[in-house]
Amino acid sequence: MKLRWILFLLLFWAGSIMAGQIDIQETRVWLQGERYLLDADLVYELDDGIMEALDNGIPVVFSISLVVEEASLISPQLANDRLDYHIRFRPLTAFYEVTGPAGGQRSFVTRAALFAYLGELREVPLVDVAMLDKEASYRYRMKVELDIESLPLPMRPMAWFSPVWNLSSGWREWPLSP
Amino acid sequence: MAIKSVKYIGTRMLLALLLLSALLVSLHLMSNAVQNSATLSKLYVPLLIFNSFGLLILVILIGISLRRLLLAYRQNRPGARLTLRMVILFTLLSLLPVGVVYFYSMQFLLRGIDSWFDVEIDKAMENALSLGKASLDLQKRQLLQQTNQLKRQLIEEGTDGLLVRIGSYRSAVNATELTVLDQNGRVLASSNVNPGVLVADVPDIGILQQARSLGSYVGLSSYGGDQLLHVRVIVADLATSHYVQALYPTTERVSTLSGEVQDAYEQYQQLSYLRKSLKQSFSLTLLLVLLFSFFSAVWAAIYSARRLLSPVVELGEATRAVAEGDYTTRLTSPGGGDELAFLVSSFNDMTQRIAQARDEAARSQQQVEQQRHYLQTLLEHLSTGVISIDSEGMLRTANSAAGQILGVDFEAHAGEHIADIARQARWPEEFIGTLRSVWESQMRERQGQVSIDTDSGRKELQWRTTSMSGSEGYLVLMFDDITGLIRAQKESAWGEVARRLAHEIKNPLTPIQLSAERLRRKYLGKVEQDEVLDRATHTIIQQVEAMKGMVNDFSDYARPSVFNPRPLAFEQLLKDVLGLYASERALQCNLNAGETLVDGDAVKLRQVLHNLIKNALEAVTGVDRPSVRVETSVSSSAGCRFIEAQIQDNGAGFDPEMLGRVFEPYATSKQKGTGLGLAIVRKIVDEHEGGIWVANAAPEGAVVILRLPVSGQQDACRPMPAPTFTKEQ
Repeated sequence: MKLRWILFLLLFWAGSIMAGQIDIQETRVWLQGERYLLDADLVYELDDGIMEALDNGIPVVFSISLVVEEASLISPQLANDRLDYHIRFRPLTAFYEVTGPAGGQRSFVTRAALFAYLGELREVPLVDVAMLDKEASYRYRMKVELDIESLPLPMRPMAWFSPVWNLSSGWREWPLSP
Repeated sequence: MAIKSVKYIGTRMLLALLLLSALLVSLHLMSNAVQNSATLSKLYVPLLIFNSFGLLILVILIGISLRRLLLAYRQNRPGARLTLRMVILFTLLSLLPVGVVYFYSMQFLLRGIDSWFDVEIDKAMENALSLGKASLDLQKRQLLQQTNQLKRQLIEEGTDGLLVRIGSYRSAVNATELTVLDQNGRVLASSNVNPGVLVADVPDIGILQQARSLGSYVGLSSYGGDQLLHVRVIVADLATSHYVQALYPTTERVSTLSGEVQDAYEQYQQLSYLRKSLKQSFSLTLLLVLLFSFFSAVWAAIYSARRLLSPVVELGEATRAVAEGDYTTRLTSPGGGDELAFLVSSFNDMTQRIAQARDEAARSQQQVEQQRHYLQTLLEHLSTGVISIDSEGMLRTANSAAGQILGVDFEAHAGEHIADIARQARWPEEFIGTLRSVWESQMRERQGQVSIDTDSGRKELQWRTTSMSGSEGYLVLMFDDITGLIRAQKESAWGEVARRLAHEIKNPLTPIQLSAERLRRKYLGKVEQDEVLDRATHTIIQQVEAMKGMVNDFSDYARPSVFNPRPLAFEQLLKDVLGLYASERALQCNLNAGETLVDGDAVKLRQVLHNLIKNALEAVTGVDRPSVRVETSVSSSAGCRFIEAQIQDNGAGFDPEMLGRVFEPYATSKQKGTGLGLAIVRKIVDEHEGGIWVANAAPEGAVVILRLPVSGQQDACRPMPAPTFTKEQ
């Protein structure tokens, strides 16, 4: 009985390893005028199951969460943004269509082009300089995940418990020096 | 009424109802969520988890209830068997329809979903999309040709002044946007129908690569704020490595129709992809509804069975309590006025009446007991002995007076035949015969007098018999000890005789004596043959002296006694008397009473002791080894403390026929004496409220026992307890 459980856990772990991943490779914060902007390089390695669903008309949403907060025990948040990227496949044109957080759309013929675009996060407004105190220390956190709640309802129970669909980079944080 | 009802249902019932209601609401919300309700769809998974937990709690509750039920069943508690049966029956009854509905619902649901994805529809959707593509392909070829011509024209004219010319070229071909790009995809010149659009729509690197490798690229693309369908045409000039991109608008109708076909196809494709998931979702929801219905039915079955059977169970327990004698049990009516309520009401009436009857019986028994106790008390305090004998002659009851009078422990003889008891108690045979004839005959009312020898001496009893009313064949024998009465009568008679003797005889004796003495003085020695005179007068004088002594004794006996009691040491008095017989070798003393006092008249007690010792010494006259033993002791019996003096000789003893009459006047076996000695002794002892008994000792001789109450103990010693003589005595 114990052996069965161990096997099950091993398979689950192996499945989660092979299911794909989202990784935040690098971030850069730079000042433009009175605002800090963020550039990030992301890597999307998605399981074939997700791509199959995408090709079959299932819209997929990648959600990027950005938090700027004081590096203290209480950690009051100065900024908390969420950027959603809606991806869908258009069968007539055979394009992958991406709708960004601002509503702008881009189309891509290939998946590689699609994920190259998604992987290059550029000039995302992070926080105004006026909100920061030069004497204080800050940090910013970032997380990229596949939004299960945006999936069609029949898929959600399966997605909740499937490592293929439970994709998240986890929270990563970096210091922010004003 | 509402509050009472809520209390009756109970907290557990309320909690279960709350849980069931919450689950029902949750299932309803989940059902709405499954039907693509935008608001609820986000709650689908939390609702699923909530319902699963709710069902789990319901299963646990049912499990606990079933476990209790099974435990009660194993312990054979009242009603458990019937409750379990009803639960199984209700469960089966509910499972069958719910199962049937679930089965057919699933069939209907799965087939319904499958029917959405008919092969024909699938093909039609594919064809519609192909048709849309085909209708655009012609336009795309024309536009490609047109763009190629435009590219040649642009190349021929060179890039100088391109920025100025490009607008006219765009207008010429009716393009929405015309752009010239270098080999790296950078915009060299661009013109848009909308002057406000300053940034050209640059194709991604993949499209450019395709255009470079194939020479051209034609594709559809949504463009602009209204996302109208455009045809994107890119042609590459291999010589200059430049690209010319033109975005041509399709007609609005084509754009709309194509968009609709695309959306419909996309939706169909999406549904087709979600086919399995849809089935799973609906099945899961239906399964949850099934489980909810089933578990609710099981819970309701357990609750209903308990509720229905609770009066029956209570009735069973109450019946058992009544069987064990507890008539105070009252059941709560289940209400509703149905047959169960009637049964409970009848049971309560029955127990109430039984309790009343029992109380009545207890009261009657108590009264009988009180009456019996009263009679027993009365009998115990009667001086008359009362014995009841049943129709078989067996002893049933005897009061303490009967035991005291007859000297028989009747408690030890309970249930024995009266004849056997009578023989053991040495009742005369003729009396036993009389009693037998009484209980054997119908003549129960008889009476008579009998003398019975008891351990405390011969007793005269006045007896009578009567039948006991209410007890068929029972005989009651009552008797009074009239020994004292007879003795008093005798003493009175003898006193009268003595008084008359003293009066009638003593008076003429003195003149006779005087006359005899005068004759003797006057004629002795003066007449012939005076020897005769001398002998005759001497005899007369002597006999008259003797008669005087006898008459004096009678006079003493008859004379009213002057009794002056005072506390005195009995043993000292005895020693004084014994001192008079110090020369008697036969006398042996063993005195143990010490300085114990008795209330007595010293003169009279001395007379008693002197008489008893003298009699004993006379009894051993002529015996080879004469012995008179005098012993004293202080003893207690029946609450009385007394001094006992025992005088025992080894003489001839009493004639057995005389033994019962030794204390009567003129009862003597001696040649000399008036026979009044022991009678006077008895009289003095009675005056001291003491007791005296005689018996023959074994192997020879007689013993006299004298008992006198210790000073101040007269009340406790009335009557003086009799000694128990052993067979030897």
